[in-house]
Formats: sequence, C-alpha cells, structure tokens
Amino acid sequence: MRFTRVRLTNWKNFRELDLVLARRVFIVGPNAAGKSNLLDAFRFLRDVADPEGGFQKAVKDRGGVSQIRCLHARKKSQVEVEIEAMIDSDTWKYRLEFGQETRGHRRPLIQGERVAKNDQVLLDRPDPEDRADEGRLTQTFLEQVTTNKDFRVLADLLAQLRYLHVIPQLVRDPRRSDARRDPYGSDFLQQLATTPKGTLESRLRKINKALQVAVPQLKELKLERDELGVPHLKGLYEHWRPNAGWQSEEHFSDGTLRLLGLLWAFLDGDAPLLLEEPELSLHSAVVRFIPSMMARAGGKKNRQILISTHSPDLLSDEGIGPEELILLRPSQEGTEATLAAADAEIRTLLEAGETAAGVAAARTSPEKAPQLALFG
Amino acid sequence: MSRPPGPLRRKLPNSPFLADVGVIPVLRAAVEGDGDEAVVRALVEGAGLTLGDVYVKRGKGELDKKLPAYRQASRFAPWLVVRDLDHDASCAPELVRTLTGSRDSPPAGRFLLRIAVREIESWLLADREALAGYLKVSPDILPASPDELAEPKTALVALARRSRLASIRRDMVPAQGSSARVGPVYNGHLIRFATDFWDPVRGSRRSPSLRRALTALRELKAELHAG
Repeated sequence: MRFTRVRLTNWKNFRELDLVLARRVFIVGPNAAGKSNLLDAFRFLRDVADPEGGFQKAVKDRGGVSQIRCLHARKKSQVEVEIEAMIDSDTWKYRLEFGQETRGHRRPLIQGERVAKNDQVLLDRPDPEDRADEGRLTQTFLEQVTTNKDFRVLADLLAQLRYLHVIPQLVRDPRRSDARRDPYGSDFLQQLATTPKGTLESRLRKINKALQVAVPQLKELKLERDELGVPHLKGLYEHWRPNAGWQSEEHFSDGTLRLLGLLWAFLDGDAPLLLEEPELSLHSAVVRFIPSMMARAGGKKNRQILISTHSPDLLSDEGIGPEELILLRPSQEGTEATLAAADAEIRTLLEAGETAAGVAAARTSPEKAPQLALFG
Repeated sequence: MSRPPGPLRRKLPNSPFLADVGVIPVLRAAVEGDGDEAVVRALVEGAGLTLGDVYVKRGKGELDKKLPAYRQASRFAPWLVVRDLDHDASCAPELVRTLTGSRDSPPAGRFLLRIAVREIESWLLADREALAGYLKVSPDILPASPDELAEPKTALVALARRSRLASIRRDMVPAQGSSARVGPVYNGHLIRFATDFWDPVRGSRRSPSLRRALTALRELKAELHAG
C-alpha cells in the first residue's frame, strides 16, 4: 500500500500543489520552505483517521483552521487535502475540504468529503442529511467506524502511517515524539524482545544486510537475554582491532544504534513511513547510505518512504531518480513544489551527470545572503 | 556610461518564477564557489539580464565535471559558466578548448563559458575606484592591468593588508602563522563588495577578460530580445 499522488489547496504555505509520488520520495528545500508542512498533510489525514483522534482534534492540534489555511489563499479559501493511494491492486482516492464556521463557535467545518475506489464514488458529502444537520459536518466519515465500513482499508492505511523526526532531544525524551512507539528511546530493546522470534530473526538479518553498506565490520546481530532476563542486542564485529568478537549494545556507537532504530522502524509496519531530516542524528558518512540501506532493508516489501532532507550527503546518492525528487522553492505566491521528473531541464541535468544535491541547492536557493548577514 | 563610486545598493533579484513567464528566458549559471556566485550575479545584472538558478560548486574540479550536463541543459534556457583560468592553460581560448574538447558535440543551445584571467578577483580589482574605497586604500596602489597578475587573489589580500581599517585587515588577511591563502572572512567581504559596490561596466575598462564576458552577455541579451 502506498500513496501515488497528493493534491493540496491552501494547505499551510502551499497555495496549490499536485504531485505524483514514487515509492521513495525525497523532499528538499531551504529552511522554512515547507518540507515539514508537506509531510504534515499526510500526518493530518492520519490524525483524522485515528479512532482516538478525529477531524476536530487534528485541526485543533494544529492551532485551528486559521493556522492551517495558506496565507497566500485567494478567493477560494477553503483548505483541500486529497490523496490517491494504491492498496493491493485497488486505486483509492480520498478528498477532504474544510473551513471554519463563519459565526457561533467558529468550529472547523467539513465542506466536502469524498471517497472513490477505482473511480467509483463511495462517498460524496455533504449529503442531504448533512445539510439538514450541520453538526454532522464537524466529523468526517473517515474517522467513524460506523460510517467508514466501505473504505475501512483506506482508513486503516492512513491511521497506520508512521512519522519519525529523530532530533536528539527525542532520543532522550521519547514522550515528545508523536510516534506511538519510539524506536530510538529506551524501549527499543524491549520492542525487539517482544517481537516474535521468527519475525525478529528475519528483521535482524535484513538490518544486518543493510548495515553492511555503512558498517561493514558488523557481521551479525542477535538478541540475547542475560541471567536476569534483560534483553541485549549483540553484534559480531570482525576487524583487526583487539575488541573484535561479540559485543553488546553499550559498545555500539551512538550512530550505529540510531541507524539500527531507523532500520527497525522501516521494517516495522507496512504503511508509508514519513521520515523527517534523518541527517540530523547521523554521521554524514552514514547519511550517504540511507537511501541504499532503505532499498536493501525493504527488499521485496518495498515500503513507501517519504523523506524530507537538506543534506547534500543524503542526496549525493546517484540512485535517486528525478521521479523521486520533490523540490520546494518559496516564492511570492507561497511555496512552489516541483517534481524533478516533470521539469525537462532538471531531468536533462540529472541524466547528464548533475546530482540531486546539486539541483536541489541551485533550485532551492534563489537568493543567498547568509554571508551578508555577517555585516548586519 | 560610468557610475560614480560608492554603494550601488542593488535590489534583490526578482523571483525566477515570475521572470520565467516573461518573454526573455532567465539565465542559468554555474560557478566554482560562493564568492564567484556574487560576482556573476552582479555581472549578469550589469548586462541587463535576469539570473535564475545558480549551480555553486565546490571548486573547479567539480565544475569541470558537470560542464557536459550544463551544455545539455542549455537546450531549455541560456547558460553562463564562469571559471578561473588559474595556471591551467597559457590563455583562455586554450583552456576553453581543453574543457569543451574538439570531439564534444556543440552545446544544445545558448551556452557561454567565460574564463576569468587568471582569477575572478582580477575582475574585482579592475573596478579600482570602488575597490579602493571599499578596502580604504589609495587607488594608486591598485594594479593597472589585473589580467596580467599571476595571482590576483594574493594581490587582493596584499591590498587588504594595507587597509586603513583594522576590521578589513583582520577579516581578509590570514593571521600570522596561518598557512591559509586568505583571511577568515575573505569570502564574506568579496561577496559584500561584489553585491553592493562593484560595477562590472566600470571594471571592464581595465580587465579584457571581464570586458569580453560582459560583451558576450550583452550580445546574448540582444539575441534573446530579437527572438
């Protein structure tokens, strides 16, 4: 299951956006261009679909409709979020339009909600009942088990989306992450220990295979319990140093541990993974290998992953194709998002030897003045 | 027509997106580094053209490797590449031949490869009035023909060393004992000077390589306007 397209209108700093999405997507742009806001559109749908969340909470958590609606919005001021997804071999579409009550409690109000499966419309709101009872327009059908029966698979896909933003503070204080389980926190080992043996071994094998690219001296990974029953991750190191052999996790470098957590998160689940700036927590020498490690760890399953980044190291991977690269650039009309493959000039540059990193740097910084700031 | 020395205070470039919809296509550029970018922006603006994406590389090696890609991309928009001659060839035409190669297919569209003789600093040194004012040195000690200098960057640092401003000396001249070629904020000053004070038209009187680059850009502009 994966997203194949996203369309946004008046979503935060995007006035209009329409992008085809590949299995792997790299979102690049300067600071404050809206990398997080683009990922947040997916998180928003996840929060709406979450049985413990819902539309009202998703809007409220983002500071209300006024905080979501694009500052560059014109006449048509409602917010629109639309995604297309592939689940098994069915094509699904979900579209949500909303604004705010113009009077009274000024509640967030749904102006349209549509679901289609293989181009057959399953839901089209507002319906006559909605018009008779405006209160119904404060909730989506997506979030209600009694109303989403016909498109439960879609609701489940959205609710299972995984988002990771591994800033160092989160590593120390997992409560601040919105991921339900934080693979970088202290519960990582416990998570490993509660995973069924077969699954665990298969995942460790995949992780190990992927790690070969970045940490070639680590030959094997296994989980063992000590006399007290506490689980420990052990790695077999093979190199010339005297400490070769089996080592437990306290001897792994921070970077290796984070990398393990990242790969574990990637293997844990099927719904798309949203990964924000993975370079922040990793050594640049390792960051370069993230794309290829993801590809190796994913194997046949090939989970969809949407990565926001401004790391030239991460983007220097020559395996990144123009259909996987989304370039964001701020303009007077809000941020413009372009798929590199849709731009003949960029496609040509990439085919003729320029790297994704090079294109990203040139495309995303029309005005460069950081050095001028030195002089006040 | 030459403008009086002093701050020119250029306006910020227009959004390339807006310019793209205009009649005149936006120029792309590729350069060796951050300092070069500022010089090229001022140069392109001085020629009356609009600059869009700039590919800023880390050194000439990386720039040279990507030349074929930029030649290909000139199919979609005009391109300008500026590179230092350094001591890689005895003259600019020879370096151009080496870089583009005789067997190479001609560029797909309008493609300018301009060589700064021998470093882009000579283009800055050529605007004597403005540079002397910026560095707070006497104009008389600036070189008359900067294109003939073997090491223009070293010459620029030597001028900064004679600045009446302690901050210029501290920023642009390497500290005693340092083996760096330039001081810690050399590039920052180079960018500031190129952006706010340097006039390529005035400079083109003393630097033939700058004059040829400016002429080529003006011809490009005329061509683009003609259709």
